[in-house]
Amino acid sequence: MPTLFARRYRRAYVGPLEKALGVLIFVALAALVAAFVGQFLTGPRPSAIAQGSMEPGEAAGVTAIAGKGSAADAETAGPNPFPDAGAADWKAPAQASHYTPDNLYMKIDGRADLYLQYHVVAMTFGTYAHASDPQRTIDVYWYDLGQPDNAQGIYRTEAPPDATAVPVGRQGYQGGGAVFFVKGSHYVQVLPTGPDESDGAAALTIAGKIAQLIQDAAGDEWAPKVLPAKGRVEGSIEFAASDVFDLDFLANVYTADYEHEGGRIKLFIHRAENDAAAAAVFEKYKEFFGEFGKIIWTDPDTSRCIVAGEASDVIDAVFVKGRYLGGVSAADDLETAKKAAREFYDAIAP
Amino acid sequence: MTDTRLTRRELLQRGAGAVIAAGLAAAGGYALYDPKGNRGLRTANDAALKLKNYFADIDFPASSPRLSIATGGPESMEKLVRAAIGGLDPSQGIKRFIAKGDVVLIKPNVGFDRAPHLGATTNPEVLRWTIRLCNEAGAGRVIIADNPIESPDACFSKSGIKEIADAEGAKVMLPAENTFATLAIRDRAPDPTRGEALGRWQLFHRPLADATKVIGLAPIKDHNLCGASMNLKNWYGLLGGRRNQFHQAIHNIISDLGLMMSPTLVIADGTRVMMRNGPTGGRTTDVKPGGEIGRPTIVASVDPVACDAWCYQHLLGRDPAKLAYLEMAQRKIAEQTATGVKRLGERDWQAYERAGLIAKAVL
Repeated sequence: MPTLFARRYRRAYVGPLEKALGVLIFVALAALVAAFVGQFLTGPRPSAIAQGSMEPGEAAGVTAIAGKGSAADAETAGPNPFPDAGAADWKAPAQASHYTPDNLYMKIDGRADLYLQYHVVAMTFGTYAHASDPQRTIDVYWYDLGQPDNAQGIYRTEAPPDATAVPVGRQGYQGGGAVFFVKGSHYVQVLPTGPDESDGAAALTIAGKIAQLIQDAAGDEWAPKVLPAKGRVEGSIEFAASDVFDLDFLANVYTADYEHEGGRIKLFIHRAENDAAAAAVFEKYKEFFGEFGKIIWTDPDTSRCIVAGEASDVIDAVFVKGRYLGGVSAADDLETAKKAAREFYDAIAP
Repeated sequence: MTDTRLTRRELLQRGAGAVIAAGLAAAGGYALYDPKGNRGLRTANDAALKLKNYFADIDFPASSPRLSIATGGPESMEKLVRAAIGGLDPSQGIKRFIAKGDVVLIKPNVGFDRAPHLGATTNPEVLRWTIRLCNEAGAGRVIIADNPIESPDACFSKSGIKEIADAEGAKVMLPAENTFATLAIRDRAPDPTRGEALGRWQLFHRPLADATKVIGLAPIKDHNLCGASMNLKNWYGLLGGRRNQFHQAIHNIISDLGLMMSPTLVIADGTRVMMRNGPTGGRTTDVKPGGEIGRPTIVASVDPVACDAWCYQHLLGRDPAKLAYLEMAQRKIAEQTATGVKRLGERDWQAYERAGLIAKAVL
């Protein structure tokens, strides 16, 4: 019978070693082919980069592999909200990356926790590219804080005291070309790659275009009216959404710095839902003093509900008046705390 | 023509052989099959690796400075880096630490895809001169590695680190699946009541495995969670896994990193100090050249704890006695040195000053 590789003479004998080697080679080749096919069909791509979730004991530094349904895909899924640059030679981001409170650390590791304290809802990131110079880019970090108060809070926390104001959003400033503004419940950072002045102009234009897309909403803005105007350091009002002064029961508090009898003090105010809720926070403050220090003064004038306490070498004076809980934080001494707290208490309309 | 027809016996033998071969092939394929591509990696159940002490082999005289501080204008990064490293050993300079043929890992901070002028990452020019000095000492290879959580490509590119590394002939090693291994930081489970965070953990190990010498090169930054990001915190960038869970015990983890890593040398990049809104920043107003000193400053040291303490006080203008992880790192390293391990970890940098072990150069 003719075959493709027919021998001229039939071999009468094939030794057992030769047979065994032949079988081994065949098996090894077949196994390699099977493994390769299996790996190619189901395995990860070589470019997958290590990051993300892994518990101790798992085999690799990676479980979030780029691929269908992975965390990496989820970041770029969703709409691209970025408008045209409105500036010559600048192109809008080809795609937007979306971050949630759960994965914001992947973009701003170490800083994300601060945004979580302000109840960040989402962050959208995109990069504007220069048409002719790939080295020049403008990154946009677009935060949705859910509430105008939260957006104002984080904005004020990050803004430098001597920032140069620009007319973007409800409030905005520019420094070194970068633009930062707050509008409604959104806080937006527009960061050129370099400090080039012309890129700063483009950043300002882009910021303006983005601001046009954001619906404005004022925060309640009750705090500047309740915090005393006299002696207040300009631009010192800040909002803290949670864990205020590292106290887990104290949230949604405005603070401001004051010049007071040759020194500086910090007043704070929280507006509760109702009188009972404010009183409950007041009781927790007193419990805190008891647990970590002691109450060192109670206002003898029973028409005022003020106490001062010392805990961890820090003196606070706290009062409750209706639905307001306020006081003096980290005063230099008890007398300063008592006096400032009484003045603040009396300044609040009943 | 020879009769080639099979006998029944031959048919059965060949059929059985084919079935056995197919079975063995299937079994072999199954044995080689590796759907996740992780087969070659160690697991936590294997004997975990231990990190070597990259300082142990350095012949460092007791009379040599532990800290070397160079301050100068921004015009010559070369002079600053040379003066800082040279101050540790005026006669040998970098050759005290890097020998001919060494594979040197330089670990900068490339944690964010931010432009260099924002100070969130190591100044590429400081990296450039550190690489050059290593090459001048005869290093066989220089590796630049970090494990940013967000896209490593983007971080290395936008920070300018890749461009400088390429230009200076160093090899950039990016994290990939097969570059991680389980490290045993301690032989038992960590005890949080003793300020411990790490037992065994995944580490970006490949560059460390290749290296014979390790240099930490960290920018000095304010940090929202831990007060400051300096050289001890810089090793955080080598961690794999879900490392953000350590944010709840940030001082424990940073001091554990100080325990884990005994580098050959650390260099603090105080050329653009991020004074606020760290570790990301974003404003040029967040950054101040030289921090409180007001002029670009580079600190080289064989004691990472003392280096951080000095920088925290002089560059960020804060009290190192109040930075918990410095005290914790000193305690943990002291426990290590008590068992004969050769390394340094002194929070009280002033003790070095009193002993005349700090070199200063103003350029």
